[in-house]
Amino acid sequence: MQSSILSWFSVLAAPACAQFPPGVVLDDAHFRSSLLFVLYASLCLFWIVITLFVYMLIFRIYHSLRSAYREKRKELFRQGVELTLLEEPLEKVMDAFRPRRPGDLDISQEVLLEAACHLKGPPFDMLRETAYRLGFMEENLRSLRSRSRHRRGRAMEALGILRSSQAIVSLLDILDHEALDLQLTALRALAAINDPVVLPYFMRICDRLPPALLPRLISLMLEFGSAAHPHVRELLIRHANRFSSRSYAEALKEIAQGLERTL
Amino acid sequence: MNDWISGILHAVDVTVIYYFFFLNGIYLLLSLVAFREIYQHLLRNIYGGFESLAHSPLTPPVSIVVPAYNEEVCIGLTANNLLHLDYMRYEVIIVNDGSTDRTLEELRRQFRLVPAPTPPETSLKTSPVRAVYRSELHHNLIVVDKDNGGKADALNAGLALARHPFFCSIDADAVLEHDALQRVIRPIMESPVRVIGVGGIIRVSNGCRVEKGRITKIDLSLSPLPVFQVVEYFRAFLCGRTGFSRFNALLIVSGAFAVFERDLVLAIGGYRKETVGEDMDLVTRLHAYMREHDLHDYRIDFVPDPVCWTEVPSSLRVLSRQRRRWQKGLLEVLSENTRLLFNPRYRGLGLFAYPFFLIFEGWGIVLEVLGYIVFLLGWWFNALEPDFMLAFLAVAILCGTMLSLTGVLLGEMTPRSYPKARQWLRLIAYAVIENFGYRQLISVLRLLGTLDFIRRRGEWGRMERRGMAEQR
Repeated sequence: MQSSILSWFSVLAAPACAQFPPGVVLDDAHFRSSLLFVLYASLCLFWIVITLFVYMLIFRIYHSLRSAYREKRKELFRQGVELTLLEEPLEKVMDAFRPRRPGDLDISQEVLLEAACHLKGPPFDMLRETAYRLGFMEENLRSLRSRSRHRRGRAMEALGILRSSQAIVSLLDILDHEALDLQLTALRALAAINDPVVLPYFMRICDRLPPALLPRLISLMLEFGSAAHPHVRELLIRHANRFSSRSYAEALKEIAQGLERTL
Repeated sequence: MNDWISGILHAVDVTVIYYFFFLNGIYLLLSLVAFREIYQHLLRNIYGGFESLAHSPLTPPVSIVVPAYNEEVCIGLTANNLLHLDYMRYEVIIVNDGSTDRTLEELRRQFRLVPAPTPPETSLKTSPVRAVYRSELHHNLIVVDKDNGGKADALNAGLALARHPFFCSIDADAVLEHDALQRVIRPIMESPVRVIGVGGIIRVSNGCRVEKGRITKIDLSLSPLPVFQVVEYFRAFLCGRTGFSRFNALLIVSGAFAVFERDLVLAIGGYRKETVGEDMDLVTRLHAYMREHDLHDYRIDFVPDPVCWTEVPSSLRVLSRQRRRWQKGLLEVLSENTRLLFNPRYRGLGLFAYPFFLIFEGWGIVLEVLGYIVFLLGWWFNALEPDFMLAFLAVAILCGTMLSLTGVLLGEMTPRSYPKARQWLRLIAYAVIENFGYRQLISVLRLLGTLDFIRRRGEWGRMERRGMAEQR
């Protein structure tokens, strides 16, 4: 057992041992095994510390270079937001947002989404049309089938912000097979798209959601406005005993009273 | 006689070596788990949409309870900071715990306090409440003036007055990020199981620029002691607590910033005044309560986002008092909850977290200091082989450095990291230097805390604040 640990350590410590002068050989003849173990361990640790340091250095340099580059490119695309606010023609806005180099698509979309989060009315419509014509919607719809779950999550968020009604079917499909956190992201995106046609699906999913998530589901349904009120009332009646925590009792009571008034 | 001495030395030697490898092995595993958890958490944050929580009618309202004892220097700024958080419904309850300085007068002056009706008595017994005030300027600010009874007593007084389903305990010198409540409430709203408590990472504010109750420039203190604590906080919060949180075995959620379900805390009788580790005590009792009532579907979570900044001791005297108090509090809580030890009923808590804290964090310090003594004795009596001794020392230092560097790396990954390369290099240097004196100092202070526990001695002591106003 001890020898197997030692041999494992000697593999790890091989690069360090290579630094010993040619005449020095590390074996049991010169050292007792416990010392050899400690020696190998210290050499391994030494290399881990150096690796960590180098990794941190590379990590930091990479991030500062990347963020500096992205910030510079973002400045360029922010002109598109200014043109949108100045109500310039769509072609001009599209030109401003059009990716120019490889990697620009992501940056341009990020700027557009940041602005879209805070805008309403005609400027928002202009940004959405721009995103559609520049292929951002298609790109995000494709990303919904990506192997990376975080990429899928980002695509859902983007489609929600852009209120892409084309994405409704794909997002509903996601509700059936994604992990719980991505299901929540999809539900958030659907609530942001705000098409009441999806409300029956919200009702369906609440049967299989863990009770702790029901309040979150209700809060998302309330984003649909009065169209959601009959559904919320039904949900409250149907699942009254599934609310595990009393923490939401007051808020739910308030909502129920509000619903009674509107219905 | 000589055989007898060398036999003892050898036994201690072997125990210390095993202790060392187990302790560092567990820390290493926790660090690896934490690394994965934080990485996933940061990626999820990109599409987390937690901002929407702030405006949802179902986002639970929160009562923030701030116990204050002689905090005239910073209470005004803290209150202002708390009154401007980005959250829909919350109230701020400041409990003046019989301060002997001008804490209450400061609050009266800044927030135009007017007397409010004293609430009816609750199940929580506290020192007598002298008066309750409301602010004419902020509808959600309540100030309780009461006789001195200690931090736990002040928190109980605030808890008795809290109206909302969740309450958040905050230190009077803490500076919160504007979205702190949103970030900690997210696990409560979006976790598939019931989340009864959430803690966040506490960052060191010494050296930072604070303007109008907000951290506007992140920097390191010029004095070395706070910088050692920055490295230590990164290691403890990002490696340790994130790792324990993964297994729902978190025993400590820092009292400087934590959110709990109010009804549950009331059900277990609030904070216990008999211990100085009231935050750890509360978390342990909450875990035990849930398990003993067969409510196994719950979590106490830890959020690795920076949510709260606090001033750490910058003098040895204050650091010494703080660490002795922490150690005494830890041992008090552990000795009160021995039923948890290796008890499968408490799952991860009883089988992993409690034994770990008892063996390594609690009583392990005796072995650690004994190790140093035996090391010196062995060297004096020529009972240790010098080559082995040096090699072991190298392992110890490298292990410590590696864990600290992992903490610094994780800190670098999280938002609001130290922006300049100079600061980062300084942190790395301190991660190495701390092995040559600082760690040993902390070990001695913890041993003194252990002796305080054995002798049942110790008190809160006083934290000397430079005050956030001075840090501008």
